[in-house]
Amino acid sequence: MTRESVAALVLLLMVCLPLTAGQPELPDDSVYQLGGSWTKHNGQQLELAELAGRPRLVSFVYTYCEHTCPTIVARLKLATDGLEGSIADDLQITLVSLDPQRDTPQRLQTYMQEQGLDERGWLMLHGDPDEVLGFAAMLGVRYRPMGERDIAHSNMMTLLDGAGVVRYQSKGLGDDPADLAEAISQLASEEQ
Amino acid sequence: MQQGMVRIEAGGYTPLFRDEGGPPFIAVDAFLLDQYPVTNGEFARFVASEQRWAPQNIKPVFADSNYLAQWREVAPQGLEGIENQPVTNVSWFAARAYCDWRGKRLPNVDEWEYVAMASEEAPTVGDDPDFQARVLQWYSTPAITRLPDVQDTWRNYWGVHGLHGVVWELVNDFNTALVSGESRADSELENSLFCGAGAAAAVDPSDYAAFMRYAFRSSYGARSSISSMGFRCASDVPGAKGVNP
Repeated sequence: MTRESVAALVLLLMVCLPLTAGQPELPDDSVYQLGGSWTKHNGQQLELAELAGRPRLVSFVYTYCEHTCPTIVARLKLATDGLEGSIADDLQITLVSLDPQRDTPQRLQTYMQEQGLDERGWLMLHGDPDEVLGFAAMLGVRYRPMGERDIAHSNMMTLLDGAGVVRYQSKGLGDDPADLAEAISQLASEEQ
Repeated sequence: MQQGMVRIEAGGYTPLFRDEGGPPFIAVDAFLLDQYPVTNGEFARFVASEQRWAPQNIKPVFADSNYLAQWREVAPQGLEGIENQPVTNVSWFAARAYCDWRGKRLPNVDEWEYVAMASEEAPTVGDDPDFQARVLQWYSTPAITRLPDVQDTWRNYWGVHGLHGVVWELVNDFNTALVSGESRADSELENSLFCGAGAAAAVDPSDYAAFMRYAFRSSYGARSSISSMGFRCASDVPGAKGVNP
């Protein structure tokens, strides 16, 4: 092996290692233990465990929803707009589509633009129906197709810390928004 | 066909809850269903092969602390006496993993409820109050202390054993049951909890057994490991999709 190729190999290892060995092992109570493959709104593939590293606020929606989904998005915006410090930059709102058939990644991308959701702060996920079912079950989210067009679903918002451990769940829109805000600031103070 | 499975012909059923304006009758494609609930013995073979699902290894996100409690409490020395009883205290995640390991899947609600309508003699008993009363009788019996071996259970028209009267059974889409749980009589779903669900209404309140199953599913969590809850697996019939009469 030439000196150059050894150097190239070392360089390669330095580049590649942090992606695997640098990934800290997930705690036993991390929801990312579920595993599974997803597609982001920009078409990129993603393993569920790759969501680790940033705190997240997770909700399940479908973009054609005319009922409470717009309210969920509005509430998520409201809950995060006033954030300050590093948590404002770290927290990523993650919306999982309950309608993989119609909510193609392309459709999710368009929805993000329509709603003015920036890519740093927001992520939308498309998965096959089985993955969606598993992730929803993991977070206690219930949903059911209603007729041809609608999907009844829980208005649940789940706050996950950087390791994917559930820190707070707001079950309905009737909950006090201050509770969610407090859970986020609690998490922010711990992460500093 | 896999051994131990029976073929359920295409048909359908009237769901307990249906959407406003939705179909009163849900069509079900032909599929295969395990003749018996999965037993402790069968589940032990799965766990021996897939050790992440063993009681000492399972991650808390996949099952609560009751997981397979009967293995340590009733039969700490191997599975003596319970090997052929339905396995209980399994979570939805574990049941799903088991079926996947067998190259099968959990049945969905529609499939399960369709098969549950069969009496000994007919695939659909319809409004037979006698059959409904018998099923309800089973449900209102206090949880039996010793489960029967799966072979010793009641057999319905399809050759499926122990669907009623032994243990509750898990279905794949349990989380499609949306009752809020605050009130037993609550068929109107709370709009603050669920988006767009106000249109669900009970169709046949006289089928109290179906209502109990629905309520049970709506209160179930995917980690729950319950001593009166087991499962069986299903499979697709190749080419059977969309050939409903």
